[in-house]
Amino acid sequence: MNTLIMALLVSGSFGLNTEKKEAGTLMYVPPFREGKVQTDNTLDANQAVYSFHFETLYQNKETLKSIWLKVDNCEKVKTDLDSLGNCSYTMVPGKHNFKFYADKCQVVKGEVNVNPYTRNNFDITFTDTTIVVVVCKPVIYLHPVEETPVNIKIEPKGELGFTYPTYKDGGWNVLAFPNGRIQEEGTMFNYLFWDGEMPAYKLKYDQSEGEIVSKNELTSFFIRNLGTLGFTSWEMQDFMTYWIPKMMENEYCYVHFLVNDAYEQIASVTVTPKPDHMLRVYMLWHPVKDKKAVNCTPQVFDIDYHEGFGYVEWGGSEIPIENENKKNQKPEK
Amino acid sequence: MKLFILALGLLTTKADYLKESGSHGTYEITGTKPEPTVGKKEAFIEFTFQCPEGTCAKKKIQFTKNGGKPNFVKISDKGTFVHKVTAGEIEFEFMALDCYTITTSKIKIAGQTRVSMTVTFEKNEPMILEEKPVIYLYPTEPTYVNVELSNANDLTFTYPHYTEDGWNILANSDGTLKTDGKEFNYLFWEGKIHQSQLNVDLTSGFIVKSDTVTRFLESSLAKAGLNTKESADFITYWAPRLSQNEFNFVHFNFTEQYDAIAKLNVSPLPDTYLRLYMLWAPLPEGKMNGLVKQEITGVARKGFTVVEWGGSELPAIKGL
Repeated sequence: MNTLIMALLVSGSFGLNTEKKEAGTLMYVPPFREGKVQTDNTLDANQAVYSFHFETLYQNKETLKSIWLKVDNCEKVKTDLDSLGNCSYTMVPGKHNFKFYADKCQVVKGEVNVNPYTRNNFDITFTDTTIVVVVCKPVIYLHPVEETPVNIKIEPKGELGFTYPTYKDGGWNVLAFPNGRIQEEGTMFNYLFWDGEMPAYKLKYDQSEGEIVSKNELTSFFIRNLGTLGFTSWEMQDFMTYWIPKMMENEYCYVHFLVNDAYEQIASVTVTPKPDHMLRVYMLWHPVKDKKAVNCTPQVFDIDYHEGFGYVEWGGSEIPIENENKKNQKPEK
Repeated sequence: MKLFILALGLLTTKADYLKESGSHGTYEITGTKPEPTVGKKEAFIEFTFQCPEGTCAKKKIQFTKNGGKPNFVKISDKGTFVHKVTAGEIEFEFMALDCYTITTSKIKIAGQTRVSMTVTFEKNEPMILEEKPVIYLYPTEPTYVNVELSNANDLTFTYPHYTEDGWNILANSDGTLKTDGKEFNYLFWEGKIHQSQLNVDLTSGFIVKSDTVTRFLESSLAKAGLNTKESADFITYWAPRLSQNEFNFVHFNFTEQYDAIAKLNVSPLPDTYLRLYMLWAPLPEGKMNGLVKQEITGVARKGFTVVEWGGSELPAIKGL
């Protein structure tokens, strides 16, 4: 059983909820959460109070002013919220289905079973679908056993941005050498590069897994983790010299790695011939206030190394989570 | 003739990291005298301004009262500026070109008084990030090399780790570097520098459109003498950034000008240095009057060769 911690994301939350993690599903924060229940004998037998607190995930400075609510099979009703994002209804107790709608956000569904004479609190977290994350610097390294012509097709789940060498229809067609060099149209490269952007709400990961790293520990943290994953020292150098200068602007950062299967939510890749060993590592990170800002346990990586043709890809994104301690706002794209 | 960006003051600060934090500049009430010549609810304030240049005579200075409309300052022959105010609590904000804005706390001004106030501006010189200078070493045979940087005190991040004695590595002729039992392709450092130290020359360079960034960099870097691997490192780092702007100004600082940013001390002494530092800025208007195309002369690699590239994004250039 995993406790999903929302302390960081949910400021005015009424309480935490425990939920069983579905097998194979990465949860970020459940959008509908039941909070405190209080008895109130001043209510009638056919009455219960339903109090809702609404907020949005990711950077969205504008507080929600109103939402649409659909109860069971009734018509959608527009409701204005108070300045803290709350609204309250007195309705009949029992089983109800809720659907919540907010501008530019994904619909949130909830099922409840409410007792008479009670005051019930619910937290709803909307996900703003307009927020995008920048998919930074995926680079691809090839380690064939012998000189091998390789075709690589990438399918980003968002938009493909800059590529180098230029990505063409049909993918990159290159000649890979055992020393890691890659030849494309007569020119030598050390890696293939792409970037892009994708909607933030499509990123799913379990926040209870990961680590909070202070800026002074970044180097040793990456050497340890990337080393375990099987990066070579020069791949590690490319990774670290790209990310550490950005991350060390903050005292502390939360770091989560999406490895192999989990990387698929960023981009799929088809490599021909099929590599014997694939290692794809995508880092999600965001600044946090202190060492305890997120209750998480270090990720454990279980990588079976296979001899033969090796493929390594890494990339990352800074997650646009609102954080008052964030020093360095990126210029708007 | 060189035009320095700071002297022109034509830049607008875009990114937060260019600003130094903290409050800069000071103000002081130096005296209060009765002033019977004004109404009971009025007062005079006699400002004395002090500017980094020594004189404020030619400086454009503005101020606001309690967040109202800006007033322009006209400095008299005596070097002061007298302004009539309504008595009460006033919060001033003083602004001068190239200087930090000074915001006062609420100052109580009694009626029929003459308050003397000195405002001292401090120059707002942005710190510019020196991004990703990487150093490649190509000796003719495996060689133990020591590399020291003249700006060791201003480094923010290095990898492999820059020690008190600089970097000590075993370099191979194919460019691979070994230290601490690990293999690397380059030495990495990053630092911060005052904008004026960058000696930005706005008279020569290039205007680069977003869809030609890759082609432009490929051909310029090849002309300068970078090989395709070095060029790919450069392009994958900078091209995504430059192509976000419709137009960019680009100027390259080569080996000699690079020394002003950071000198390299390499032993044994290299036979060839190829150092290239790109200064660039978004150019929203897409034009710079009188810009001369920069000549790029290549360097032939002979013997032990040291290659280094880096760059800085400058605040957007407007009005040239």
